[in-house]
Amino acid sequence: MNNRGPLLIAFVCGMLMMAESFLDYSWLNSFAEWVQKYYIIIAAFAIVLGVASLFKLHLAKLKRKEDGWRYSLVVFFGFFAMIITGFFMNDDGLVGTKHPWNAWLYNNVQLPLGATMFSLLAFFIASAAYRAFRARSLEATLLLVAACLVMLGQVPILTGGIFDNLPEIKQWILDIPNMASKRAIMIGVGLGMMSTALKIIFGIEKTYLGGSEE
Amino acid sequence: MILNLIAPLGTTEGLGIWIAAFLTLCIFSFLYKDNPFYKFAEHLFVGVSSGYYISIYYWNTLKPNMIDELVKGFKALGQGNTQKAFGLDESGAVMAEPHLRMLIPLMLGIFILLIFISRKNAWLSRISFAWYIGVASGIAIPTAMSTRVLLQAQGSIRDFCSYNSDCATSAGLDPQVATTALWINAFLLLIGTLSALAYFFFSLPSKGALKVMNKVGIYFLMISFGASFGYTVMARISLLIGRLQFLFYEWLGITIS
Repeated sequence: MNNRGPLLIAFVCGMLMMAESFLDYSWLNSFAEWVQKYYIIIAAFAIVLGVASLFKLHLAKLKRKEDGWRYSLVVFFGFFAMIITGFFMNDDGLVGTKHPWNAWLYNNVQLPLGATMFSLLAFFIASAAYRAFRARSLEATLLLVAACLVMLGQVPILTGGIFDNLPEIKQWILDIPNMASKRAIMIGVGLGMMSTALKIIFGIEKTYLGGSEE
Repeated sequence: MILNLIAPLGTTEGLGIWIAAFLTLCIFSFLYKDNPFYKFAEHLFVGVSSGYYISIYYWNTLKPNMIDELVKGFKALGQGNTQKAFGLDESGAVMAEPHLRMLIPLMLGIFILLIFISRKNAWLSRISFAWYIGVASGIAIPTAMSTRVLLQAQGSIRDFCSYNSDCATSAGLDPQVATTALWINAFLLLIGTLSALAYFFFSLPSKGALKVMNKVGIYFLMISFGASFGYTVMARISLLIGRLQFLFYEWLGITIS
């Protein structure tokens, strides 16, 4: 397909949404209001697209009986368990995520799995720290000292005696030098976002359309 | 230390605790090496999460904003009220409830799914993507300008104005009494922001004053990375403590007295 149509749509939508922030016309405001409603719905369809892609991958694994194809059955089992309890069960008007069985699955399967998966990172982050935290230069020393002070400042057991001021020191590091760098990074990210958005609106950046560039 | 009975398996709650404990141990088994128990838990997590988020999006987004509106619209159409069906009042003005106007996002959503449904018509998905990305870009420009650039720049220099009562009053800020420590902090904040910005400024060669600024910028960035790292470590540790507390207190029933 010729890319001109989609590029024109991106240009018109982008310009109108941008103009809405600066101009006060009732038609433009209602346009922006509808568009934002449509926007969240299309985002929901994009989630469906993601799940469809996951299904395609695991169905192909099952079809070809690839290594670990049995685990694909586990994916489908988990998915359909959530879908059946979330869509097809009704307990006195309690449906979806409010249904007791859906909530039970969430509390006893998804929540512990997610929390444990992220807590596992504590071990890997510790081994990464072992490699990163070597005071070989002034920069590396600053990194080490700041990380240690923030970590120690978070531990209540050390607040007493010589460590009395640790929480304050930690807060100062977070509020002043950390905030200064974060602000600079945020300003850079903001400028990058604006330039990318302008490139999309004016059709310079069109990789989101996929396929070969015309 | 008192070891109570392990959570009873006979109840729904007890069964849930046992399953959660088994899955927690499955994930922790990865610390030894990749193994079938970990793979089982990992795949189950992927399946359950995707099912859960589909459910969340359906009940919180699609149903109230689209499906319910379409049902109302088709009902009005069935009653012969075409104007109401399309979200227009008797005078032809646009109502807040869109009803059948929601066919537009439905159509755009179906276009996205055509990638998987029909290869021949998959090109239609470009219309939806162009619309979505165009809108997102249009929203991003003023938002990024305001929140990520102007507000951050303002925050870096506002303290200097707040400490001067005339400046604070004219700028609509609360005048603050500045101590030497506050002045030093305000100065460090400004220098840190400028020097860290200078570190990412590649349009001029790093010589003279710019080189000094770059060096100071690196120091500020290193402190920030260290602080973020320390903060992340502690967040992960607290999650780990939470999981261990679950295993010891809720599953094994150990209480320390």
